[in-house]
Amino acid sequence: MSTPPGLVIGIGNSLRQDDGLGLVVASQAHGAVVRLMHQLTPELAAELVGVDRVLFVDAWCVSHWTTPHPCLLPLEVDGTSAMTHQLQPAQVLAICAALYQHRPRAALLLLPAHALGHGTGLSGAAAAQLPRARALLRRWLRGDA
Amino acid sequence: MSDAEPPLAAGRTITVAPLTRIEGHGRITLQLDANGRLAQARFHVDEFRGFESFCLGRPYGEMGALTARICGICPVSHLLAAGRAGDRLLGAVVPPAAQRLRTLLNLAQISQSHALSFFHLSSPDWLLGWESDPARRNLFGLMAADPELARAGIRLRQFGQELIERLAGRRIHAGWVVPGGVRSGITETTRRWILQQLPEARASVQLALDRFVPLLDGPLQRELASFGSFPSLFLALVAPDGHWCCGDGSLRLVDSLGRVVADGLCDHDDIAVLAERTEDWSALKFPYYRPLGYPEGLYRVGPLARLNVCTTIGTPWADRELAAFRGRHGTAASGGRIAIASFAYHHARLVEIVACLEGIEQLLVHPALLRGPVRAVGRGGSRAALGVSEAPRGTLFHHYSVDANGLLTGVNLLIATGQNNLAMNRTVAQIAREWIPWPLPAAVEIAEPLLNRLEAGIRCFDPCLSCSTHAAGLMPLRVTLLDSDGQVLAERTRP
Repeated sequence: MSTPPGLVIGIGNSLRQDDGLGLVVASQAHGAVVRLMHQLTPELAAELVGVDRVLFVDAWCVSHWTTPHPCLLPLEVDGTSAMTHQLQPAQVLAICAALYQHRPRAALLLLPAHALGHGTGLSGAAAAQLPRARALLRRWLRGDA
Repeated sequence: MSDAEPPLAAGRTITVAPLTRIEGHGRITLQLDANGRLAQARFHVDEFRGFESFCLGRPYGEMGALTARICGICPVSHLLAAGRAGDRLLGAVVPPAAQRLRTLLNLAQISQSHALSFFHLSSPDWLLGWESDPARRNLFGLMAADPELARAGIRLRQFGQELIERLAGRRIHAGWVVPGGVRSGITETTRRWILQQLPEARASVQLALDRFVPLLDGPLQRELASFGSFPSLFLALVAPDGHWCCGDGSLRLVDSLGRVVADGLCDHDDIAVLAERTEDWSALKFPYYRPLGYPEGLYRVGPLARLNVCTTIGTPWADRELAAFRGRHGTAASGGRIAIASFAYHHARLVEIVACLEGIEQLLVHPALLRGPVRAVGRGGSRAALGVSEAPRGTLFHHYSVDANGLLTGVNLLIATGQNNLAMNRTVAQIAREWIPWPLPAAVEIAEPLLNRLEAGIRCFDPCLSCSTHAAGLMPLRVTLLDSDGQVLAERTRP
């Protein structure tokens, strides 16, 4: 029997309301190694070496969505160029693949953000999505996704 | 009649904006005169945040945590400067173990920040070429061209960041330095972990030296000569024995002949010899050395200045690298002692990484690091105090005034990038004169090699516009060419 838990990376800023959603949800990934980050940087690629599976958990502005619900999506590498201070998850995977010839199975748990102003609390709409987000996280931790 | 394009009748301006691979949002404007020659070059910074205002009224003990939020790259520098100002306001004598731990934190920060600047932001220019596709002239292009160097940069930065995290609890914005010391000591596990990482970190910087230094004798010679090569003053902290210093030290100013112009500048909580000028075309102030006036009081800070100001570094490998650096870049006028080329900032960063790694090892094997208290009780301080730290980009000043309740009544932040502002403007002008064919043809184009060299001239200083204007960190660049009437002749923007 396989042991699904891997690395869970929560991304966001807890001082910008719903931008902190990724941190809130990722920190509940019991049994997995959890990293909480403001933004993704190239060094993270080196941390993926030896990791079989990785889940990125991030909040995205709800206006950019076709559905206002949390989604669990498979992730592929994206080797397109980018600034080196702030990467997308697929670009971190690309660095890992290029420099370390390692491609962990990767997924992205996207969480809809409704308010991104200054403040430490989640908006009501975001908080209402937490049960569904947790369910998707558990699904990933079980290895069902 | 000549076939050459006639010079423009009126003055014109070139703007480069937004600038890329720097921390923040900048713009370059090149103003031509009526003969089509460069009349003026300006590096504009357009952002503003105002930490000096909205921190007023807060308790001074909060300033480390507040000002660390200015930047995600060098929050440690603000923590240290705020902590040192707080020490003086509190009247606390920081225990030896805490002094060493603060220095350890700073050395880790300088290592990781220099690694970011050298490997990720600047090396694509010379490894991939000034004319290369800008869409590939970045870390991904570097990975394709030299994966070994890319891996070394990533691992070196990871080392510095993880050291910070293990010591201070977080990679960025750790409120670990406090007035009177630090919040916690170092564990034996962390000490051993750091020592285990040092050999790989040393190999990484050696690889960078092996790759970079030979280029200075070949394809980068013209850049070395034309990217901000001019006499100036240099300002940095030095240890009491004159050694390179990234801990507690004393400020020294030297000139381009190596003469000490001023010494012990911050010993009395006063930096009155440094003045700031504002210009209506930039949110970034223009500090200068007051006795020489503006703009003659131009001085440079950062890695180049630190290597020029110190007598030696004080550790064996770094001193060998310093001797090689001075042998290569030191001017004849200074007896080989002072480097005046701003392009040498890149080389200086590598020498400083060596110094940091050796300094880290020295601190870790010192028995006092693990002994004694790490925080002191205040004995009654003053109502105004100066805190100074050597940030990766140069000397950082925090000056605070407080009321009887310890609430801030005055805040002045003098940032490294601001102190290099005059030098950056002069660098842009020098690059424009060297690389733009004068007079310009009638059909003006801002070609990629020029655009990139103008940007790269700024990148020599590794500016942090977020810190220097205390502004948000966007990273675009725009260059504009204007005539003498202010008409835009050409413009190029990089997102």
